[in-house]
Amino acid sequence: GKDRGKERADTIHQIQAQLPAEKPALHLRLPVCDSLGSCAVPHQVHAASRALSTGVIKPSLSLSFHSYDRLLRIRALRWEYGSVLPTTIRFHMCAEEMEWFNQYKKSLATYMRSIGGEEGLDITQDVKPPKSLYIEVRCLKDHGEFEIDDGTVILLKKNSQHFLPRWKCEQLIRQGVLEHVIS
Amino acid sequence: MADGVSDSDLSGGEESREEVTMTPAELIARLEQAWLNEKFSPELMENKSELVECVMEQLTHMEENLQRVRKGDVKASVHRMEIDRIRFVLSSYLRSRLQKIERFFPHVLEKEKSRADGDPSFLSPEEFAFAKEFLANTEVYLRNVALKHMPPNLQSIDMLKAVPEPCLDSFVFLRVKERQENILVEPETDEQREYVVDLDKGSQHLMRYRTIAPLVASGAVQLI
Repeated sequence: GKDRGKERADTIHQIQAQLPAEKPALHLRLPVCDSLGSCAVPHQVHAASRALSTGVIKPSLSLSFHSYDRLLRIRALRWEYGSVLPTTIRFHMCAEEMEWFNQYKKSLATYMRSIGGEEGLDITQDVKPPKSLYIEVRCLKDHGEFEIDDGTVILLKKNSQHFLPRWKCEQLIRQGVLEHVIS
Repeated sequence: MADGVSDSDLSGGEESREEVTMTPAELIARLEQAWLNEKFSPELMENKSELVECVMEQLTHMEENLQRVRKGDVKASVHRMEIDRIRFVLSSYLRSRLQKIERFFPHVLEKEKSRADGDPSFLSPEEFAFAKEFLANTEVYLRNVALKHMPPNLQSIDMLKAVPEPCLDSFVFLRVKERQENILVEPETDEQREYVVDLDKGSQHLMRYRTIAPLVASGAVQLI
C-alpha cells in the first residue's frame, strides 16, 4: 500500500518550503495533480492554516482551491463513468469526497426524473449528435446476453463483433464493454 | 425536419395545449433556437419549462407512433433518427443549463431569490432545488475538508465573492432577426470612442454579449 505518512510529510514540506523565513508570503502554490491522485487535502490545508495563523496568507477560496478543483473533477466523473465509480478511482477519494459524490448523483437523479413531467430524461446520455443509425462494435469483455429493440438477443462475447443500433450501445461503449469499430 | 416525409404522418398534427398553437416543426425550431442561445451565451438564459414539456410530449408521441410502424419499413429508421436528433438537442440544451447552474451556483441562486414577482424566472423549480442542493453539498464538503482546519476567524467563505460571475463581456456571434437601430458599441482602449451601429435583419455580427444581452432575451437576435 501507499505510504500515507510519507505522502503527508511531503505535501506539508512542499507548502512550508514556499514560506520565506522573514517576509510575509503573498502567494501559496498548492500541489496540483493531473489525474485524480490521492487526497492529501486535509493535510496540506492543515499546513497552510499554520501559515495563516502567523498572518502570512490572506484568507480566500484559493486555499480551498485544491479541494474545489478536485470537486470539479469528481463531478466530471459522474458524467463520464456513470453513477458507479471504478474501484481504482474510489481508492483515491477521501470520505468527504465520496459523500459529495453520493449527494451530487442523488440530486442529479432527482432533477433528471423531473424533466418533462412524466418519466424524465437521462441527460447523461445522447452526448454526441446522432450520425448513423447502426454502428459496428467489438466486444471487449464478456457481457452476456443483450436485448435490442425488436426482441432479438445478442450474445456479447469477448472479441465478437456486431452491427447494432447506436443508441443501445452508447452506455456500454462508455463503460468499456464495447468498442466502436470505425472502418 | 426530414425531407420528403410529412410531419403529420408521425407527429400527429398540432400541439394545442398552450394558448398559441404550434406545429411540431415550429416547436422544434424554437427548441433549436433556445439550445443555440443557451450554448453560446456566457450566462444562464431564461427558463423555458413549457418548451421542454412540449418537446418531451412530442418525443413520447413520436415514439408511440414509431411502435405502430411495420418493422423493417425504411420510414422507421428515418423517424428513429429524427427522434434521436431531437432528444440530443434537448439533452444538450438541459446540460448547458446545468453546467452553468453548477459553475455560477451562488450567483444563480441569488438572482432567483432577489427577483420580483412579475419578472421572468431563470430557474425552473427543479433547477432551483438542484442548485440549492449543490450549494449545501459543496459548503458541507469545503467545511469538512478545508475550512475546519483553518483558524476560527477564517472558517467561513462568502460563496458570492469566492465563485466568479459569468463574464458578460465575452464575445459572441449573432444573427439579426429583427432590425435594431442605434446599438451603442463601447470603446476598449482610451484611443477609441464609443459609436452606434444599426443591425440589419439577416446580418451577422461578432460583438460583446453585454451589448446585445437584452436582444437575445427578446428574440431579436439569435446567437450562432
